[in-house]
Amino acid sequence: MDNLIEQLKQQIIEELNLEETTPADIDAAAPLFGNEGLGLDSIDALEITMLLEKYYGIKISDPKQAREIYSSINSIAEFIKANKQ
Amino acid sequence: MQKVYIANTSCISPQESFRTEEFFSDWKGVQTDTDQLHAIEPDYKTTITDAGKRRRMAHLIKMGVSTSLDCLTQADGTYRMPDAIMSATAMGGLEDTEKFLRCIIDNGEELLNPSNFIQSTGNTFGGQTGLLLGHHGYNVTYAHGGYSMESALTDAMLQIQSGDINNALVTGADEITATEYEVMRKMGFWREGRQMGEGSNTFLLSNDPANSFCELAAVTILHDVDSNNITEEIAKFAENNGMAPEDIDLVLTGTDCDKIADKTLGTSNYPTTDYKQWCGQYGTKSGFGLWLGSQLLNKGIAPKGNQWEKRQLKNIVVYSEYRMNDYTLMLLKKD
Repeated sequence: MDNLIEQLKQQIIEELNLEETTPADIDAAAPLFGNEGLGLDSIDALEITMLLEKYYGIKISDPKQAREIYSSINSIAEFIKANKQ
Repeated sequence: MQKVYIANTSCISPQESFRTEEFFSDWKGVQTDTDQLHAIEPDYKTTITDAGKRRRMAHLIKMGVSTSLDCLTQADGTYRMPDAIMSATAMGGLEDTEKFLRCIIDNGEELLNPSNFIQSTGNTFGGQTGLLLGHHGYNVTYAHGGYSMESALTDAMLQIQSGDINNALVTGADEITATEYEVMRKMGFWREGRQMGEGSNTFLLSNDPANSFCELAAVTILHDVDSNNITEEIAKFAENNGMAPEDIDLVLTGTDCDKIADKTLGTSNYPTTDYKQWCGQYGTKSGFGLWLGSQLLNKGIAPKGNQWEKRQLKNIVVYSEYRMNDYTLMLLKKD
């Protein structure tokens, strides 16, 4: 699980071009969106959706489900672990 | 009719031209043996301070936004709000366009990155400048090939001359990408020993002569010109603007591959200096010529290394030529 979390952090930094952020800067339990944590926005959410499909073969089509899954790195990692094809 | 003045400028180019006077110290300029002249870019953390906004910006947008904001920076660090924003780019966001097209091919037309698509359009740096300033006024981008810069300047001049606005921010920018270079190389575009260039040139135009660099007296775009008649066209341009041809103190030439025009200008009576040796060839490169001309008039100097370097410059014509199709003339005056 720890490896998956570190891998996810790295992929999010690369895909979202968070050029001044390192994996160590990201708290896996902190919110990804809004004013706290990484402060990501709706375009980032779309890019994370693409990232999950591209690297893990997981499709998320329900926005309500996405809101829960994308609440933190930990919650995304748990979802990948449960659903990876 | 209201006169138009250049109140401020900012330039990112292959030379030391951004927030520095270094280029004017030796006039040799930064040169390279390759056929690409890449811009010397500033630390964008100092020009676009919001990391969240900066991270999605490609090379072209960072250059365009940086010179735009720099040109509006006041003594207290705040930005002056322009009445209008006009932008010019021949090729737009090529880096993002290429990434987006690559993504379409690699991912079978699925899983396309929205950021690259959003940022690839030509109007992105004008739009981003407006967003960062909180500007809600006129904001238009011209993507008119080799005379995009002149089209944007003409729009700004017409609105100032007619009294609709008091000032306008005009930025022209284009970028080099590896794919564009390679495609144009295969088309034979670089065979003539030309250097590809890039950069961003911004001008704050105003109706206020106080503390201005110089007057931007005229901009014209010429179609179907016989290269043998370039000097006559320049003479006609001077006369149309109330001057005798001999009143022109310097023609800044942006000659390209038109050998007839090169020869005609080279053997004319006009003092000439080639500005493209410093900025390279790109769609909005005449912006660099305009930046150079306005700097010369503001500083009261002439380019070193020629017989007229001691000459007092008052009237400068900026000549531009692009792919032997587009010819433009701009007139700068300083009383």
